[in-house]
Amino acid sequence: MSSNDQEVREELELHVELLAEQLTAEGMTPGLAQAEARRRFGDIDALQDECVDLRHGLLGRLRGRAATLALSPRGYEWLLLAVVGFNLTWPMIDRDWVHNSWWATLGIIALAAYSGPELARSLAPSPDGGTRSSVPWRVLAGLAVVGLLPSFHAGLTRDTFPEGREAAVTAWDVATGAAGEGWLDVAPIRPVAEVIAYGFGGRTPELMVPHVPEGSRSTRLDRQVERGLGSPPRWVTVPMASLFQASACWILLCLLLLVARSRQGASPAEAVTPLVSPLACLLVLGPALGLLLEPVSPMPQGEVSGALSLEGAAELMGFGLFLSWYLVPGAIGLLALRSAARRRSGEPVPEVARRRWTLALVRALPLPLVFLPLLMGAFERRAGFWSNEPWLVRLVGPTLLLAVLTTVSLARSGRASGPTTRR
Amino acid sequence: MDPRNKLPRGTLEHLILRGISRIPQHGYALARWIEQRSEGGILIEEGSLYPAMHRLERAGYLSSSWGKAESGRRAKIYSITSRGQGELVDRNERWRELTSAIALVLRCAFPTLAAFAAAGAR
Repeated sequence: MSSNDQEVREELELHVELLAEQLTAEGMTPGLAQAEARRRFGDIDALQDECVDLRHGLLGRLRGRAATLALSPRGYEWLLLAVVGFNLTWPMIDRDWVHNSWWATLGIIALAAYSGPELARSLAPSPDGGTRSSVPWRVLAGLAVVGLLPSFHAGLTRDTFPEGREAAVTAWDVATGAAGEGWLDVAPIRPVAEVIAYGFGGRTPELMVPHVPEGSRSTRLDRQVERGLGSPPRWVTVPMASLFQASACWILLCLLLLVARSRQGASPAEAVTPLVSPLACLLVLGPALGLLLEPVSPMPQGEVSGALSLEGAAELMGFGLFLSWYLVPGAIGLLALRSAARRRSGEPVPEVARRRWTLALVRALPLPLVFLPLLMGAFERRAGFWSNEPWLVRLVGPTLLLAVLTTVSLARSGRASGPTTRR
Repeated sequence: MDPRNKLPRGTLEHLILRGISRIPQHGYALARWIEQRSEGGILIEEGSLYPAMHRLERAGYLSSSWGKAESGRRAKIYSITSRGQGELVDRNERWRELTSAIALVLRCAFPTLAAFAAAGAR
């Protein structure tokens, strides 16, 4: 939360607290008084936005929010949900793979476990008789759209650019370690990669055909290489591929947020705030820059070499890991310090605010697992072998952990009304 | 007075300026003061109060600083500026003119309405 936001928030929270105290003095129990005060106050987040705009203008708020979004658990949470959700929805849509994807069902159940409690709350009438708009609806809608868009695009490219598509598919199979049998596990991003590839100077379909390591399990891939596609060959590394995926998820979710916020009455400039987040820029521009800077050279045959792009990708990956591993615990530490300082000064720590932070942080914790496949992919390249396992780690691990942690967190927090459900 | 009555446009800002001119205070105290002074006839909605206060501050009629509430908690205290004092005087004057004019109109309208209602009842 930016300092602009914080000041206004503190002012509004004080009002709620004083109102709750008054209600308590009038005979209500503290819990009821707090709930009633919040109900009377209405949508505190919307009011905070309005006040910050009035005080500092829209630009002041955008500056604060962009940095906030990039560094906050909410930013990670959105990214995590996007990546996991993307992987989850696609197999349900792609008829080529849906028949043997028992684990996708598991994933859907996990997603339901995540969204279920909040979804139920969002469906329940709010105390003032209306229904509260909440993010889970948008998340679910987002996942559906995000899953459908690539499908639509793939349908287009299948007929329009058969050779280019074939080459890109092959490249994607290798890049994600899913060659041969399970290439659809990363299918959602593939059309996006194709679009990017087509946009790079019209060098498709040769652009992304990789070298096939000896002993690869992919016979289909071997055939592709034998057919002579891929001159000059280029690598699309596993980290790069995963960043592509994250980028696409992020962009699409930002667009959904934009639509959702516009429908809530936000101006276009305000609604576009998530798109100007530095983290989003990194995710979007990182892979594109990587492809641009990656030297085009003949791929060595008969040995595994990802050195051309591995270094740059590793840097990006390292940055991602840095964000995941250090900033989230850092945020927890800062929060703990702030709470401790408040206790020392005798100020009460707002229970609702504390719960919301905890919830967000707990949800953000599995995020490092999103980056784990990147790391694994890099190590696989170094070690010189391919496997089909990264999808397992990428999909099931984060999803299950996310579901478990969130469910436990929600269960422990008891209820999450008011600001807790509005993000 | 029915507290559900909507305040005419601009009235809330007027009330805020009046309340803050009396004594520097925070939003909650101001809202309670207005309710008490109106004997419960005006219920201030927080969703309107704070944006109005921030608007007035941005216009230079109010200034704010962090101080202590009655309970000792940190609170944003608003005080009126000299520009705000001038605005309050202007608004008071305009309000008197407006209410006088409205009163003149209503004084003519009410007997007519009363006669119409009485005729309907017969």
